[in-house]
Amino acid sequence: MKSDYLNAIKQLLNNYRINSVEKDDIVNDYDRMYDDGLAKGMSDEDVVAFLGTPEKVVIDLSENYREVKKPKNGEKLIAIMPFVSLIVFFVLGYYFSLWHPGWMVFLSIPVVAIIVEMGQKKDRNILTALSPFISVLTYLLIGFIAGIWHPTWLVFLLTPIVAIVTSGYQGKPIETLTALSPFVAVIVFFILGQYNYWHPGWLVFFIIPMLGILNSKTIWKILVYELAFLIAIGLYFFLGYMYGEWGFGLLVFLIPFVLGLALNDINLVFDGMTVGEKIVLLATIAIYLILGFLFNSWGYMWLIFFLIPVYSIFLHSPKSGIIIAISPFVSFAIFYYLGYFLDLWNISWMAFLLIPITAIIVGKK
Amino acid sequence: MNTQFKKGIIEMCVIHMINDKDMYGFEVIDSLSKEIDVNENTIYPILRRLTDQGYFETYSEATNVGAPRKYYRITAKGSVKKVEYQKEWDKFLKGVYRILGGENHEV
Repeated sequence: MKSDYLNAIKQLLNNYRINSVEKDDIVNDYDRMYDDGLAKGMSDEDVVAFLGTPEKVVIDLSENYREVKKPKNGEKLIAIMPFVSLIVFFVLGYYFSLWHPGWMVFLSIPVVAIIVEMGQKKDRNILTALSPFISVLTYLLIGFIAGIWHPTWLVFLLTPIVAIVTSGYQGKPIETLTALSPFVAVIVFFILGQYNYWHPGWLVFFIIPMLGILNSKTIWKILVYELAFLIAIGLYFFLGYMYGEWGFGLLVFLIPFVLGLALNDINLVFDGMTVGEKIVLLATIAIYLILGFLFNSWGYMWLIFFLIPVYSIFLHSPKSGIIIAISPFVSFAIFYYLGYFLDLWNISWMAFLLIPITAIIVGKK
Repeated sequence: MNTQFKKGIIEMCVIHMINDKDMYGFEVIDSLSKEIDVNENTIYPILRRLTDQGYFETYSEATNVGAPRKYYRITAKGSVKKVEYQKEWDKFLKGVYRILGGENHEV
């Protein structure tokens, strides 16, 4: 017990700039005081309580000494990774002519740093932090090797999905499923779109409200809503496939919508919106639907919905921040349209570099 | 009570006690903690700092059990400091008493 106590003090003192003679002197003093305590009839526990735990002792003593900043395990690894990457990059390039995609080895620099730093802290968000790099690697490798840039870009949705799954949220599984549903819907929608099933593939987005309603505590409400969705979808298919009325058929989705209004679960709130915002909202929906039905533009016109947040940003954000705030929308639009129309998925991802570039150029110091 | 303020008082008490007689570490902590409500583990660092500052010197004395004990003895510098502390403390207390209950206020 005593030796453990003294050893602990000695170890903790190693964190401070203190010479070995002084360190030994302090440990000897505590050795002597420990004996004095025992001689007074105290138990080991009493002595420790009396003299203070090693941590408390060293904290009080530390006022007189400067802390030693020791490199943590792994910090050296982080420090040498740029050099290792450079060497690997040149070896791959000169000896194997793999300059490309050998440059991807540089991604190991942040990846190693994240693994070392977050791994040591046993941070449960480590997967979320790594996911952008995993996404980029997967996207580029599949893109360069197999040429399947689209819809591989959907792998970028891995980040929010991993974040939701690893968030440690202790709620019901259905809540997690609801949170995941928009991402699952987008992925399924684009995969279906890849096979030209944009329509009626978009119906997959109904899994969002259909899962969402399962969070309700009222059983009859769940049943009524689910039934309303199923009837609406069934009727829509019936009208579409039997009579070719895909356009007018959309009216059947008024069934769950009106139900929501009647049961007061849907509240239309336009109070906080300016006239301009209302016009943009309605115009985008109208343009999306009209052009969709006229030109079958479902696969690319959905980006028009970006106008809603972009217009609001113009309206409400401070002028200095507008360009930075809209840069993600612009980048995504460039990325998507270059890929969709010109099949340039292999380079269009670079559009995302606009975001940090804009922030650096426009942002304040 | 403010930690720094308390540490200052403990420092003064430690100088005072060692001025009266040579004492070893455990004895200082034990005696002081019997009189004042104090966190025992704060005393040794103070003792050590005052020694480093030249207010005490140390010497060892053999005991029947274990390693020799380290005793603390006041130095000339320590004695001057003790008088300084005493004056400051008296002045401080007078001020406090005046505020609390006039010149003749007694504790």
